[in-house]
Amino acid sequence: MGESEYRVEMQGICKSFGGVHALQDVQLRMKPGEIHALVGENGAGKSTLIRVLSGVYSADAGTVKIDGQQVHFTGPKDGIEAGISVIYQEFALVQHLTVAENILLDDYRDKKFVNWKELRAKARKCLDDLGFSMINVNSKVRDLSVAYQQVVEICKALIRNARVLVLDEPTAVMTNKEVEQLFRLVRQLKERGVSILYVSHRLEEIFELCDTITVMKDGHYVDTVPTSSLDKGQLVALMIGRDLSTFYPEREHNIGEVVLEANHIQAGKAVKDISFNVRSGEIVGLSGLVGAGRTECIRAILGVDKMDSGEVILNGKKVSFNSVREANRGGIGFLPEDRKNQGVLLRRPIYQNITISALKRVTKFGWVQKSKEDPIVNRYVKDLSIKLGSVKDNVESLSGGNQQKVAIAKILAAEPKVLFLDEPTRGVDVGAKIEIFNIINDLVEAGYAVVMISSEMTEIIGMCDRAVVIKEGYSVGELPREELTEINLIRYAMGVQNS
Amino acid sequence: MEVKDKNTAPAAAVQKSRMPVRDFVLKYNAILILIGLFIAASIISPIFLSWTNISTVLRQQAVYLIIAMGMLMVIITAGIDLAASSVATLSSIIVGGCVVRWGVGANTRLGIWGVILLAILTSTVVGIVTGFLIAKLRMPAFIVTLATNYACEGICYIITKGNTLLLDSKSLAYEMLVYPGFATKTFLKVPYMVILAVIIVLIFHFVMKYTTFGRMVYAIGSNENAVQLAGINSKKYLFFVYLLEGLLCGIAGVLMVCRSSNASALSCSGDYAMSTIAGVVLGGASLAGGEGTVAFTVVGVFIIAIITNLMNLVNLPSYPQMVVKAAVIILAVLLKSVSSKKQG
Repeated sequence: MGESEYRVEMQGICKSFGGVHALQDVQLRMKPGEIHALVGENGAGKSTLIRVLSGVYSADAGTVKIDGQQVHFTGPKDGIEAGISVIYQEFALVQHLTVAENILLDDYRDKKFVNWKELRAKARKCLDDLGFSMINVNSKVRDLSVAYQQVVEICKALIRNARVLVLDEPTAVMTNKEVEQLFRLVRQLKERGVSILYVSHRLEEIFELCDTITVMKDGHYVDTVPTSSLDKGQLVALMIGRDLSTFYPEREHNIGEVVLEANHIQAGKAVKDISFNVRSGEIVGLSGLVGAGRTECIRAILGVDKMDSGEVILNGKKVSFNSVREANRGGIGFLPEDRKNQGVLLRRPIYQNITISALKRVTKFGWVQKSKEDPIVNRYVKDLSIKLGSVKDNVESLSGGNQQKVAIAKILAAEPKVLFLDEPTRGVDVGAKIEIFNIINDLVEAGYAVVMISSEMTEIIGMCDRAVVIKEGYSVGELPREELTEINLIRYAMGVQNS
Repeated sequence: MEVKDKNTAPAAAVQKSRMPVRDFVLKYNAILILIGLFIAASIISPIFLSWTNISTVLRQQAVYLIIAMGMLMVIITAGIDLAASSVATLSSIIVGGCVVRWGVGANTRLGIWGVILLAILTSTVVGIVTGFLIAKLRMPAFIVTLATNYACEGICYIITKGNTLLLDSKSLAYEMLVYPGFATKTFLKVPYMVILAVIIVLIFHFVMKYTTFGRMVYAIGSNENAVQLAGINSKKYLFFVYLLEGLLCGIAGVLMVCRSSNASALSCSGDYAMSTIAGVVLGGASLAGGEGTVAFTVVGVFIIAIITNLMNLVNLPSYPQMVVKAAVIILAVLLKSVSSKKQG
């Protein structure tokens, strides 16, 4: 083993997907027994970097050294063997197996028979060593709290002799008490000399727990600093500080009456108390971190998921929708966030996708009238300039941007007045993004009311007349156009407006 | 992304240029197999091409074709109907039970029409229950139809007490349904029941292609979640799919009586579900849903039909026949999974 000050040394890491540069010349250095925070906005490249470190992706360029030895991982298994364990937000636990079985899953995978006594004893010892003797090794994992599931995941990593542990947003769904337990455990691991890479959006936690912070932005490395050398405000400044690109097209602002009002929406665990309204001719952005409850809020309003309490007022009348169908009838169109699984039918023809929500208008006694359907299809293909071979081709033959335009055409064909757009430009290239922005602008100028969820702050700033910031299920602030800046959005979203 | 498009574009072009032959084979393999079998059969057996044999095959297949239409719809929605045999048999037993055992409506033409209607209605009710459980209560089609299959088989045995209900050859029912009625009467040498099957197939061809219902069936099979998010009541359509499957099994059950002049609970363990599922899959439908056409289903059904007929003509006993059929089905599905892998 080569002598090195660092446990992990990543240098000049580049990774691109197609033409998109996810990582450009990124570096990361972690010492043994260090708790190292990795921060950046959504889409800064944190996840990609983790995946390069763990061997899920191989980097296009750059070197990865573990304990001074250069490594070339070709899969996650190589990473695990080198002592790198990643605990993702969605745990990789087998929910209906016991704690003991989960902890030693890798250990007994290659054995033909299970020695239950030994299995339980090993798991027991591992939990006891970490001070979690209250976890019963015979309980099923699905019966444990999220924090204890996390502990099980960490035990699993320790059984694999993990020397580098990556925690991806570990506290996202934890209570305060659970967070304390986790912190205690992380500090214990630090004393054992495990290097911990801690990815989180919660600045308070980072300042409480971490020794060093690496900041990333837009796929680039920004800086690595000791936590003690800066305050929250300075950290936020490191995370943003890019000039707003000018590619957001201009539009006329003719804002009218309030069309839709959502008051104190509460639904499930993710949506606690969210209120906002939208006027005709206006784009209201719902900003916030991934998982803040924005999508869940919209889904509750539209009746996809159950709404526990709160009221929705549409054109002055109180309404409650039990399905998207009812919302459609009320004049609301919904563009879901996951284009491929929710937005379009990939393996159906383009024209059938466009008219699927508007079939009533083109059928007679249940039979589709080509003479009525074709004009609608042609109109939207032309209006949205969807680039296609033939409308009879399946949607999957189109590029991402054009697929998204088909999804938008589908909504518009149902002739709504209010549009809910959830991440309308996710996964489309820059050219298509601008086209989609233009489409949205045209709609707003024509009097549509638009509610837009976006995780890209520049998009919210560039497009919206107003933005409501959602944090952990609550609407925590509303920013008018003049105050729409990245620093304001990030402050509200992370809860640091006072510092 | 733009660069990516440029990268994939030439690759797609290269694929396209050598696609035609392979693409053709992949797309039309069912037809090629059918033609191959047809030629092979006519060489192996001199009787195969005789009109007597062909009309026998057609008469046999009328039942399968009608069930296959329902099965096709069910499979397009990513479901399955394991109860088809028993539901069809139930309908045949209602006919047999009314006419032979209870003597209900056996004496007038109108009465017999009523019996037919009742039989079809019974199967439709089973379809309604199945549809309710699957579409509304979101239970897996596999389990639901496995259970309804069992229940219907039980009901069939309860009604028949295990006996075969034989239609009296002098009765009115026999005259109307069997001879010289529906089964043997021909139009331009084509038996009536075959004509009925052709009409039903044609109706479904157009329904699946040109109606909202047909479109929704495909849409639901391709991604039900997206369909619901587009503001469509997918449950309604799914419900009607199973209702129609019940109705079609009912019609098929009546034809079973017409063809065999009897009704027996033994038909529950017949190959109606097995062969129609096989036919639908041979015709290119995917059990994952969203794919499959009426025309190709007909081809698939006849592939099984010709194999069966050929085995009969060369006097292969019926138990080895089962093994051969099973092998053919597994081969067909293998071909499908291999070809779809290559496409992806």
